[in-house]
Amino acid sequence: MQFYSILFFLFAAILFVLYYTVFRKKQWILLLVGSLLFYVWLAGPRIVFLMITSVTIWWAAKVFDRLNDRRKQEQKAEGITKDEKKAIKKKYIRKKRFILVVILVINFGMLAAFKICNLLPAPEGGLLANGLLLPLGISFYTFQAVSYLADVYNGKYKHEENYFHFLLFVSWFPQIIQGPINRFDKLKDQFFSKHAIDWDTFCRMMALFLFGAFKKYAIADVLARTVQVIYEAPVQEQTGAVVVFGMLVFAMQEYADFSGGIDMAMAVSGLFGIQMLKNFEQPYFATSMANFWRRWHITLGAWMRDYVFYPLAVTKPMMNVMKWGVKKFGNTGRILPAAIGNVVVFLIVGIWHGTGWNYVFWGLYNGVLIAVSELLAPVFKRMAEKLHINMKSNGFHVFQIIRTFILVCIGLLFEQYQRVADSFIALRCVFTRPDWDLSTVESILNRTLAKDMDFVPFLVLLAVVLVFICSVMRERGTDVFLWIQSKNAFIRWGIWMLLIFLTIASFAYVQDAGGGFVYANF
Amino acid sequence: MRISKKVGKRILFVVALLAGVVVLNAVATFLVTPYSSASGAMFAQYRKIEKNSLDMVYLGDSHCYEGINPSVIDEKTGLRSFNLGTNAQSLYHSRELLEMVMEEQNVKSVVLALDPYFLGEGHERHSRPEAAFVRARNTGQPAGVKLKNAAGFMFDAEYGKDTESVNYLFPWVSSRSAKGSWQKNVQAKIAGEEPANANWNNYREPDGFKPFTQINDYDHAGAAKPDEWTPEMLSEDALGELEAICELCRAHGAQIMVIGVPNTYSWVLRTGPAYLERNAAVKTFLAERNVSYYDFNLVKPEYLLMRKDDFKDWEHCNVTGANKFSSVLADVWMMENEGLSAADMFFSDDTYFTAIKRIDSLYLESRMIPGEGIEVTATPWTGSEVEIEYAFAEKDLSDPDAKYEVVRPYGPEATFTYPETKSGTKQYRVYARQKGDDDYESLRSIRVEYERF
Repeated sequence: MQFYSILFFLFAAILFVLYYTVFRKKQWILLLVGSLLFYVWLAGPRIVFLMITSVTIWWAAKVFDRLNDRRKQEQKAEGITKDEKKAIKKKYIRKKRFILVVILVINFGMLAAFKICNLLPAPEGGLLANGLLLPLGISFYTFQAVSYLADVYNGKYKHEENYFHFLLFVSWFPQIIQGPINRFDKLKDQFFSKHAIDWDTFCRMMALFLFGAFKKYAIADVLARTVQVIYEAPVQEQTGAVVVFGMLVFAMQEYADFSGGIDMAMAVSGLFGIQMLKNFEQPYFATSMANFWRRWHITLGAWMRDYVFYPLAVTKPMMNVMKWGVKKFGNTGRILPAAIGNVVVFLIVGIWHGTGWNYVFWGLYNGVLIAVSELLAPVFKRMAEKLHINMKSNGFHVFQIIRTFILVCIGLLFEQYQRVADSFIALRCVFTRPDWDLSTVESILNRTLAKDMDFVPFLVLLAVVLVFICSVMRERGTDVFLWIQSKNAFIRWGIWMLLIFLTIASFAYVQDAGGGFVYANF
Repeated sequence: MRISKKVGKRILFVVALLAGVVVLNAVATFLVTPYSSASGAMFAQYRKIEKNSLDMVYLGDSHCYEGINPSVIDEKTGLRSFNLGTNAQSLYHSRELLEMVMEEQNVKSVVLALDPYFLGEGHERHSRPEAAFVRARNTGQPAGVKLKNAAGFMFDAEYGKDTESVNYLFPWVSSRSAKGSWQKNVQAKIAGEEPANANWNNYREPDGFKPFTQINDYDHAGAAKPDEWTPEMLSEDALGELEAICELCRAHGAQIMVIGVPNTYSWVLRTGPAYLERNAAVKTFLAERNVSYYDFNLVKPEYLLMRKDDFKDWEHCNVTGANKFSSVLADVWMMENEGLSAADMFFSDDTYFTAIKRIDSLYLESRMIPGEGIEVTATPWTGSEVEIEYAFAEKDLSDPDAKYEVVRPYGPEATFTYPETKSGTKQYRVYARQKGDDDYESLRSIRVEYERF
């Protein structure tokens, strides 16, 4: 399903009108019905898996709070000793942990099973035959639901009494295609409070939708064919120029596709007064790999931080590692558990993206880079002092951005080449087969661009420049929408019309457009 | 009801925004969309025909409207027929067209030119030609009909969830004149010229036939690459549409004959023996529904011998080929009409491959061998019993007057490695002749980029 399609427009428009009119007193019920209908419409009977996740997790969270209450009651009993209180606590922790493990096994087991089955060759006939078995948004709703379960388990907030409230959180239709991974405590009040239509918000959301569509269609989809041609070619025959060009183009395509899709989803959600969590913050302006992951797919990074990294960092073995590290390396040793935690987290992030060895390697690449840079941070600082480099200067800031971008681009090779060795061969080609007169790049462009459309590279370039300017403004804290609205009518209308025109014009190039979103199958 | 100033301003804003988009769209549509289209020209000619005057219609894609000349058939059969073929016409739209024609004409016979491509899983329908088809169908129709047809496309189960549904409102996105012809296109629109004058591509004769005079360039035309087919590729949806078309004819008492329009030998041979397998599967499917299927690619040479210069490109007849084929098609139709089977006129097994006596064309593949040169392999599209010899030549691209020089004389090996010592763009050519002949029968050239590291 494309957000830019007549059926989605119609669906959203009907929901929007009903939301602010007929259902204005029970808005959340309409959102729930709409979300479930949307899911059934796209995924049909596979809604069963979403229901299993929502029911099991909602029930487990309820049980956690019940067990907490029972424990408190037992501990309050008269004449109970401190040791007995401890024993009661332990007993209930064991019970809760058991339930937690069972529920996690069920839900992550389902996710893993689907992902693995999808990778295997489809058998003839039966449920697995059509290769479409991965339930829509299973990664996103599973991660969301598990975050709720973990929060209730940790006592961050109480469980939700009304199952249907929780079901709305899990099935919320704008997020179901490609995220972001929301948190229950951040959306709850928004879902269940009354919303009135607001003209400014409406205009802002329409502009956000347009900007998202612009990125997705005028950049990502136009570049898709070029990316495909580059990475399908035998890697041994690539020249250095093509490898570098390929990395740049893929970096643009992936960002434009994912962030464009997220902008559209945020805009649709925003039309109903629901502000979902931010998922991007100018990632290519990151100054380090760790910083990059706080700007790219922010909600996944935050999820990993809260539910994998922190719990792992406080485990006994990690504490022992820290003690050993401090003994061996002094203060630097304190960073060891964080470094190991980062490697583990990114290994999981890698597997989440795909189960091939290239994704495992890509995850490790990111994790090791972050771990090493943290471990060596004091060394870098000393080196900079010795070389009289001002680490707070603008020049050094730009250097950090370029360095991080290069590291991110190298990582993208592992996403594209299924064989890990191919990524290294491609990197080798940069130095051994340079071709810096760009004739091979020109040849690829000639093959991928339609003959009667030599304006396309200019269209993409213009689109990329516009997105870049917008990113610089955002990085400087400017509200771009307000900035545009503050301009005179001629400039304001010119910008909106240009975005609309370029977005629509991009379809002229994309043959059989609408290949879906890169992040739609997670 | 009073509208506040604030609300009024907002309504004005929305109206102005929509008006802006409408104006932009109208300007772009006027400048970019062609004066007419292949589908538009067909509909324009069809609408000139008075009701209940047609006896026979032909349905299908470009194979149909470039391969079947109704006037040749009409002369032999004494019927009045019309070619309803349109660009990339899917079986889905063939059925829609047939429904329309059955209401407007008293058609007694239908010939469906089947393109195996549309029978393939995943190829059943294509949004852009379908959008062009709907727009062409809508030209000159009342607003209600236009709206109904447009809504049918935009809310179609397949396209409604896709970007193409919205883009239907922006015709210039999918339908545009070729680069360099915008000015001519606009001038033609303003002057109200006939499509033929504005763009030959959109010309149709009054009976829907589109005559092409050019001849396929077997050396330079995009390669006839090897193709694959397995029974799993046969789409159930496409077969369902095929069945619906047969049913529709039956319901209206019309006779239907399904055919394959001749392509070059190369186009058939590239699929190999699987071509016969697919053909047999379609034949069986149709036979179970009492419908005859004749693939004229498999017609015996004593009945129809298509020459190399009977084709406009690999898969389409030119006017000479179309006339030749249409004449035989008329014979087969008459036999069918008399209750006779024409099956004996066609090959049904691999004797087809032995009957081909010419080298239709060559398909070349190249691969770079670092440090050595470029290996070129020739695959001949020819009969199974033809013995071939190959010669490999090259041309110096730096010299504008250079001619091809043979670097490996005629021999049976179809592979040769051109030794290369420096990077650059190379131009190679392979000649093929039948054993014992003095001169080549087919040639193919290839341009390869070589980097020596």
